[in-house]
Amino acid sequence: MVVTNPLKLLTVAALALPLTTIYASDEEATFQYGHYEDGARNLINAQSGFKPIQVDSIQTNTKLKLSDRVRLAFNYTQDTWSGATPITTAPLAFSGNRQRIIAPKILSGASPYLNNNNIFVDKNFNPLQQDSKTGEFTKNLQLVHTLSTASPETRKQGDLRFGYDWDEASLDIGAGTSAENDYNSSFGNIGGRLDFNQKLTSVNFGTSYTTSDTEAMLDHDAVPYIEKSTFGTRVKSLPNGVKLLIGSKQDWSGSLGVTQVLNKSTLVEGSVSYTASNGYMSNPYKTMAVLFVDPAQKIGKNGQLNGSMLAFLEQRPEERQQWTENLRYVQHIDALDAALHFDYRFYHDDWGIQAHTISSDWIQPLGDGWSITPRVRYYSQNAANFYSPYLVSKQAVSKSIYNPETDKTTTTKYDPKLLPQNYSSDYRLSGYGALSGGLTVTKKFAKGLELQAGAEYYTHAGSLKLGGGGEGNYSDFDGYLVNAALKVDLAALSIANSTHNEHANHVHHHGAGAPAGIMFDHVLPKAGDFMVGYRYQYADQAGGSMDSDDDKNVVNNACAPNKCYVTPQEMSMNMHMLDLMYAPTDWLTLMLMPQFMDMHMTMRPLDGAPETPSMTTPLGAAIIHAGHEHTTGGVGDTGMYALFNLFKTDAQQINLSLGMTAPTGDAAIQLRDTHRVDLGFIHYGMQLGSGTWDFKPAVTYTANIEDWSFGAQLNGTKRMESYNKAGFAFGDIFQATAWGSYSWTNWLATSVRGVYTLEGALRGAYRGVYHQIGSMDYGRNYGGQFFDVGFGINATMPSGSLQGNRLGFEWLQPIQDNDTYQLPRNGALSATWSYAF
Amino acid sequence: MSRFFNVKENLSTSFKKGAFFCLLFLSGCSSVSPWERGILAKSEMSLETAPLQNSLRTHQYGSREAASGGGQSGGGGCGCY
Repeated sequence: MVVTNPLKLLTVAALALPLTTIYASDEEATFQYGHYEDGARNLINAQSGFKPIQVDSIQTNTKLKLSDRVRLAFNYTQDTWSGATPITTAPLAFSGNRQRIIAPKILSGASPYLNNNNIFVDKNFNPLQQDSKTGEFTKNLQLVHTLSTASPETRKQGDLRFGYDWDEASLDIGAGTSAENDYNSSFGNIGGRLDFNQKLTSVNFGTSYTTSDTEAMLDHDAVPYIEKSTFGTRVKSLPNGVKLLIGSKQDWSGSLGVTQVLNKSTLVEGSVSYTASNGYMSNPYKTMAVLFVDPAQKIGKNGQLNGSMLAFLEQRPEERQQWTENLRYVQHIDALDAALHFDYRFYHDDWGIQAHTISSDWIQPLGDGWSITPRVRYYSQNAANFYSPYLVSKQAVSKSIYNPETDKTTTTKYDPKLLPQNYSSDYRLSGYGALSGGLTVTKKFAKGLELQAGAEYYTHAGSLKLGGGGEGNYSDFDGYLVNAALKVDLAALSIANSTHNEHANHVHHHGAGAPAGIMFDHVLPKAGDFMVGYRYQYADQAGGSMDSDDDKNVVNNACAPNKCYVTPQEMSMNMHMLDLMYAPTDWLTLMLMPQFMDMHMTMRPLDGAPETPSMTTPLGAAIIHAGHEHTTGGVGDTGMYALFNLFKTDAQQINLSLGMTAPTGDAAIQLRDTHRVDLGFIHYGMQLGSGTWDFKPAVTYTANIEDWSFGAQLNGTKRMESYNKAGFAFGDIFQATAWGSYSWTNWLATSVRGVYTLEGALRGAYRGVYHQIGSMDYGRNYGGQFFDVGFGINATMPSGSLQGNRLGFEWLQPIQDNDTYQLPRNGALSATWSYAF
Repeated sequence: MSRFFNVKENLSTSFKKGAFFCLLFLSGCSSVSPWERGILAKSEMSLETAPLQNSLRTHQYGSREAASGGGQSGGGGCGCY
């Protein structure tokens, strides 16, 4: 079928565009990093000693076409967060945050005050503040949050979606799972689109099901102060004293929308959605302050009533129905070649919350691939009907009654049934408004590469609530979100590539390429060339002897002159790297490599270790805390390199790489306070970066003889500073490696490699609080000599729409470790994807 | 693909179908010929203005506001902080 009429050709092209996915590319790979951070909370009479909550996120999305009509999408998201958030609210008069005086500032302390058994209210149950010197009472309605902080935690989510396109319809089926240490969920969804009216009208529909399980260890600092009368069967006590809260939840959701083109520069979408949820929907770490005041007591001479403040786990309803109505309007402004987006959303649920959201974006293309998008958003909600900053229960917390007949005194506790069925003091359920504004800048390069960067400032305030009557300013806060993203349009790349087959030749010319674990082995052939790549590394260490004689050896020698109490049991690291290469001239290739990592570690007590000191001592608290899994995650160090070709013939070349890593990874991560003890820095190996500027040279030789390729590389890491800001520096590293690979076909090769690594011991030590409880806390136990052998497989797509994409995998198997007190290495996996254009 | 060779016929039948949906939006809609859709096909006219940033922003709003969850039928984890 040949369409010759240009008008018909254009018609065919335009009609092929589905309206609601008008510009989404069918084949793309994206990588995004985001950082969110709260501003400091207002604690009225104290300054928070905790860092506010901060979140580092990475996201990768890949969309591929398996055939003309079948689409496949894979998304991966990882968030790591740490820092302080409010766990409850209480009148300031009853003190909320333990104060720890660190001259010259008053800092909020190691743990929150959740209860107080000597509080005063007036006859109207308003909080009274007692002057500690004069004993006089004054009414004080000021509220304050109590903050609690968390050690780093990581959530990982992966989901997969298949889509099928008809000429005037599409169907998508997806499923995914999300895991964090206290909350796991799985979900499935199905959605579709039907086009009518020459695709001027589209109907969209979707439905999803989510099942979630909460398994939360209650904060050990807070547990002693939390009332257990409402725990019911939800909270289980484990033999080690841990209180574990267990809950499950199901959500069903459905949505229906219509998108309509109004004219050649305007379109509008209206949609409704409904979600029904049942199960455990409370936050296991939030508590409610309840003032117990016996109204029958004799009023004091200053008109005061005496009572107690206790903390209860919040109780949200176990059912929720949510409705939203959305309207989206898009108008092209021809005079400025810009687009105005206006969205309005009305939300209401059966918890009594109604919320309005208005947002507007202005997308302004600036030419040469640049565009800038300023945006504003306003959000307002009223409070849930069970929200209250604190509760007053008009009953005595306990009553003792003397019976003269039996000569016995019976004490009865408060009746928990007199409390409301549902209550929460979570500021997110209060009445407030939020205003935010931001900017996104996008640059599209030729050949399908796009970079985006954005920033948004967010401010939450009771006074911003629509119609007034919002929560007091004690709950106000602000925050900001920044992000950077890279998008590769694979379809555009393959079109660009099919017009000149140079790179396919280039790939062939260099044979199978180096194993996936090798970096710096190639340079870009000519000025103006780009390469984008993604590298992933996973390393695992575990096991070791469980023999008690070996344990005794570790206890007595690894921590000398002290004793070891615990030993690492398992440690794993995931590292995601972006590999961005650009050749400004024929003889120079520049390379930028941002890194994102997450690590986790478990420990076990050592046989024959000395008795653990009391958990109120710093050492005891640190040893007990070692029973928890430790996790860290976020941005790692950033590599910047210059690569040169030193020697080149048809079959051989030598490349030199000179560069360094900037200390962008946090090397001073601390554990949260526990049992009111400052646990200080986390183990050295769990830090996300070296903390020092590191010089990293490498020289690589490669040779190709028919179907065989050979290579060898020497590389090193020289720490450019004696110590980082935290007080230590990792050892220098020297590595020598050599490999051989054989190409079985024009697209598949396998490799074998040997690696020798020499690493120096860690120098210096943390400046500040840290507790040495095991071998990993002593710098001399780091470094050594290591031998590994690697087995790799490389695939190069020789043709088709993914032509020029390269995939590589390599497993590094440890052959010999040194004899220091280190966790044995199980091996490491490297995976790479790259595309040169 | 054969439908594209009967553009006139399809336009009239689809118009009837579309008229119903046009009524939903009281402004009423004029027919936009396929060759007039150049502006609608521009990236800035896409309903999702910045899908990447939006996924982070939505997650942040969801962690800070009560009216989260509704509005999409996707599902997902908590990541609440």
